[in-house]
Amino acid sequence: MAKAQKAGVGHDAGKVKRPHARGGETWRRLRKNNIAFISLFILIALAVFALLADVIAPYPYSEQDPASFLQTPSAAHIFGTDQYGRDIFSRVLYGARISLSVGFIAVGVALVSGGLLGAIAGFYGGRVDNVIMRCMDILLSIPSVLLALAIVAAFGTSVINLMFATGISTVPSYARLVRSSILSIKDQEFVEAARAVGTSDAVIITKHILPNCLAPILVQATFGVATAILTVAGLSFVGLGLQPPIPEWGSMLSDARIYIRDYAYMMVPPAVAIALTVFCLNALGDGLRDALDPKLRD
Amino acid sequence: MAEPLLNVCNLKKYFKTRDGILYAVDDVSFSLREGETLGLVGESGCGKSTTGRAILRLHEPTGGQVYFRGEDILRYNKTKIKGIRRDMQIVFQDPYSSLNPRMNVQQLIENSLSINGVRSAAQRLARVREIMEIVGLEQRLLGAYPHELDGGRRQRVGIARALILNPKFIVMDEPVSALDVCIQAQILNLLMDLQRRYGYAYLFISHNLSVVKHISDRIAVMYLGKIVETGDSRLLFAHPQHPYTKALLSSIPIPKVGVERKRVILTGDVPSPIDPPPGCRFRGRCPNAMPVCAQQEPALRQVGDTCVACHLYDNE
Amino acid sequence: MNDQLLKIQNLTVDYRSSNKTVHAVRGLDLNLRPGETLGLVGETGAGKTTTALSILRILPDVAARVLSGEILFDGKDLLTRSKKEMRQIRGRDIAMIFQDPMTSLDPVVTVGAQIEEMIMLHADLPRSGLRKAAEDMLEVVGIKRERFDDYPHQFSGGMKQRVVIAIALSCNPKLLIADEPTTALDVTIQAQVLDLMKQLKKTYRTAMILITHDLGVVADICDAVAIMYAGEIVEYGTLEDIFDGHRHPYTEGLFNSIPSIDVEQKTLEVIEGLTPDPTNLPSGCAFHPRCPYASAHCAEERPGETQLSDTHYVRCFQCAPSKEKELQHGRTVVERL
Repeated sequence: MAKAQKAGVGHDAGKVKRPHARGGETWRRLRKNNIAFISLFILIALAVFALLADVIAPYPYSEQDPASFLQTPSAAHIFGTDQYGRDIFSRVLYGARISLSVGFIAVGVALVSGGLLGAIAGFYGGRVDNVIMRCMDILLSIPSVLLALAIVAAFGTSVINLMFATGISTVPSYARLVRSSILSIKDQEFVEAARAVGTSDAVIITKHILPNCLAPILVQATFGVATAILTVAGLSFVGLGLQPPIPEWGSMLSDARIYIRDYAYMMVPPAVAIALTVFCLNALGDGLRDALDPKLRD
Repeated sequence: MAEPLLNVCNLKKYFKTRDGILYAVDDVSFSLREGETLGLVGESGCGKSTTGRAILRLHEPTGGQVYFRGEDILRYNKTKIKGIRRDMQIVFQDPYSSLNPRMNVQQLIENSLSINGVRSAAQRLARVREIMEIVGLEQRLLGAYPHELDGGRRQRVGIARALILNPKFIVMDEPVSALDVCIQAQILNLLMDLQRRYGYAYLFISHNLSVVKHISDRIAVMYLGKIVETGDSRLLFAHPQHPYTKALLSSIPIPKVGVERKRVILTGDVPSPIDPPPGCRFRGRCPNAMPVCAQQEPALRQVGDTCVACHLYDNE
Repeated sequence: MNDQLLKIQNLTVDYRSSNKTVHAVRGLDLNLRPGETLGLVGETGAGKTTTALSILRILPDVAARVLSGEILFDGKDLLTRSKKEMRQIRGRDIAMIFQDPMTSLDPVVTVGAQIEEMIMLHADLPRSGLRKAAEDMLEVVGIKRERFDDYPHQFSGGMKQRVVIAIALSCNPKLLIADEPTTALDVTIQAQVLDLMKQLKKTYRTAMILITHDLGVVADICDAVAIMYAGEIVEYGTLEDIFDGHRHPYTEGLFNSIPSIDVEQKTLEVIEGLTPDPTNLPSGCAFHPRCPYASAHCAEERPGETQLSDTHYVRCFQCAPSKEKELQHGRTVVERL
C-alpha cells in the first residue's frame, strides 16, 4: 500500500500542462527573445512603410526639384535630396518596396522549388536522388554572382528577372538542406511507428517529417532573404539592377558614391536601410531557430 | 491444439548492398498462439529486428509467407494491409527516437486512432485517457512533450500507442534495452500484466537473455539470419543443445558470487551476413566444427527437448 | 591506512546552468588499494561518470564545480595539481576507457599510431623502439601485430575495445578507470573482453574502477563494490558483502529488478517510482520516498555511514545494528504482501 502511494511522489517529470497549439508555443518563445522580437517588429514596420509609401512619402520618388539639389537634411527633406533634387526619404521608402519584395519573393521561389526537389530526392532516394542532386551540383558550380549577371544581361533588368536571377543560385542550397534533413529523419523510429499504424506516405511527409526539418529551413530562409537583398543591392550597385528612376537601395548607394567626399549624408539612409534589414533578418533567424526547437520550450 | 494466431513460414529478407547481397533473414519459420510470448534472441546483426519488421511489412519481405489468422498477409495489397495494421503492432527499442519530438503525449497516442477512422475528438480523448490509465501514465502528462519525460514514461507512451487499437499481436523490438534495470523491471511487469489481462501475443526481440527468459514461453535463437535452436524457454535454458546457444548462455554475466560455471568463450567475431559461405554459418566460431559443416547446411529438427539446426545431432 | 592508492574524501560536484543546479556527486568517500578492482554500480544519473571525470580532472569546465573534497592519489591531492602535472598523470598513472569503442578511437589514424602516440607522450623510449612497444601491446590484448597499420573502421566493436584497452594499458598505469567498457558489445564479445580484462588485471596488477550498471559484470571481475544512488555511495563492501549480504533497501531493489536466469519468477519485485531529480533532491535520505522501510526520521536527516564490518558500510538508518530486528520484520511483511 505504502509502496503504491510513494510511486506517485516520484519526481518532476511532467509539470501539469495544457496542450498548446504548436504555432502559439513558438510565438510565445519568440516573444521572450527580445532581440528577435524587436527585429520582427522593425521588419513589419518596414514592410508597412513600403506598402504605404504612396501615403507616407512626402514627394513622388522621381520628382526632381532643380532648385534644391544636394541639400543636407532639413525640415522639408528630412534625409536631404540627391543630385537631381529628389527627396531621399521618399526614395528610401519606395526602395523598400523593391528590396523587400525582391528579397522575399526570390527566397520564396528558391525555397519552394529547392525544397520540393530536395524532398523528392531525399524521400525516394536511388536514381531520382542522383539525377536531382547532380543537376543541383552543376548549378552550384557556377559562381552565383556571375550567374545572376548573366541572367540579367541576357533577359534584361525587370523586377521579375532580378528576382529570378537572385533566387536561382540559392536553389541548390535549399535542396541540399531539405534532402539532408529528410534523410536524417526518415529513418527514425517514429516515422516507422507512424507507418506501423497505417499512415500514408503523404501524411508521413507532411505531418511527421516536414515539421521536424522545418526549423533549419526557416532559419536558412531568413538568412537567405538578407543575402538576396544584398545581391540585388550589389547588382544595382554595378548598374545591372533596376534602371533609373526606379529607386532601389543598392542603386541609390551606387549613385551616392560619386558624392561621398562632399555629400556623405546621401549614403547614410540607403546604407542604414540595408544594414538594418539584414541585421533584423539575421537576428530573427537566430530567434526562430531557438523558438522552433521543442527541447528548449519551457 | 488451437490454430496458431501467427504462422511465419520460410520468411526471407535480403538487402542489396554495394558489396553483395545481405542475407538479413534467411528462411525463418515459427508460429505464435494467442496470449503467448516467443522470445527472439541473438547478437546484433543476426536479423532479429528485421524479422519483426518483415512480419509487419515495415520491410517488404523477399520471400516466404506470414499467415495471420490463417491468411497470408504478404499477399495483401496496400489497402488490405492497412486493415490488418490495427491487429499487429510494434513497440520500438529507443524511447527517444521512436516518438515524434513535435507531438505531445495525447497527439502521439491518438494519432493512430484518427488514422484508423475514429472521427470524434471526444471519443478519441476518452480512449487515450483510458489507455494511459492502463499503461500507468498519469493523466497530467497528456500535454507533455517527449523530451519532458524520462525513459520509462516514454516507453509507456510507446506501449500505449501500440495498444490503443486493441491489437492481437505485438512485436516488442528490444523494448527495455535502453532502460535502467529498475525501470526495466517496471516495464517488464507491465508487459506481462497486460498480456495476462488482454491476451496479447508478443514477439519479444532482445539481446538480453535474462530478460527474454523471464518473459517468454518459448525462445528462438538466431544466428546470422537463421534460427539455430528453438524450444520451450525453460527447457532451452536448462539443456541448450546448439553450440552457439551453449556459448551464448554461458556468456551471460550472472550477478552472483561463487557460482562456478563452465564458460564457453567463443573466439572471433560475428562474420558478415553478406554472401555467407555455404554450410553451417556458425562453423567459423564453432568449437565442435566438423568437415560436414562446411558442405551442408544443417536443417532445424527436433532433438530431445528442443529443435536444433546442427550436424552434431545428425545421428540421433 | 597508508597503503591506499586512491582515497577520495567528501567529494562534492555540482553542475550549474543558468537556472538549475544539478547535485551530481554529494559527499563521496572511496578507497582503493593497489591492484584492487572496484565496481561502481548505479543507474543513469547516479553520479558514476562524474566521479570518474573528477578523478581525472576532465569535468566540463563551464558547468561543473568541485565544491569540496580531496582526491588523494598516491598520497597527493589531485585537485590541487597544476594543469601541466595533471596532463602527465593522465595516461601515465591513471588511464580511462570510455563506453563507446566506436567513437573513442580517431578514425583517420591507424590503431598502431594511436598506441604509439600514447607511449610517446609518457614513456622515455627512442623512436625506433616505439613501433615494437606498440606492436607488443596489440599482442597483449590479443590482436595480431600485422594489424598495426589498419584503421579503426577495419576492426569490429570488440576488437576496437581491445585497441582502446591496449592504449590505456600501454604506459602501465597504476589506476585504470573503465566506464561501461562492455555495455556497447554483444554478450559473446563482452565475455571475450571481460576475460581479457581479468587476465590483464592479474598480469599487470593495475587497480581498476569499473563503472557499470550490470551486476553480472561486477560479480565476474570486481573485488569490491560501491552502490551509488543520487550522488552518494549508499552501500560499500567486498563482493561477498554486497552480493550475499546486502543491506541497503536500494541495493536489495536493484538485485530484485534483475530477472534471474536460473530461478522461476512470476513478477519482478520492483522499486516503485523513479530516480529523483538531481536538481531537486528529497530531504534526508534521498531514497526515502521510494523506500519500503522508510520512517519519518528518514525524511528529516541524511543517514551517515553505518559500519557493519571492516569492509562493509551502508548509509541507512534502518540498517543500524539496533534496528536489525525491525528490518527482519519489515522483510517478512513485504514477502507476505
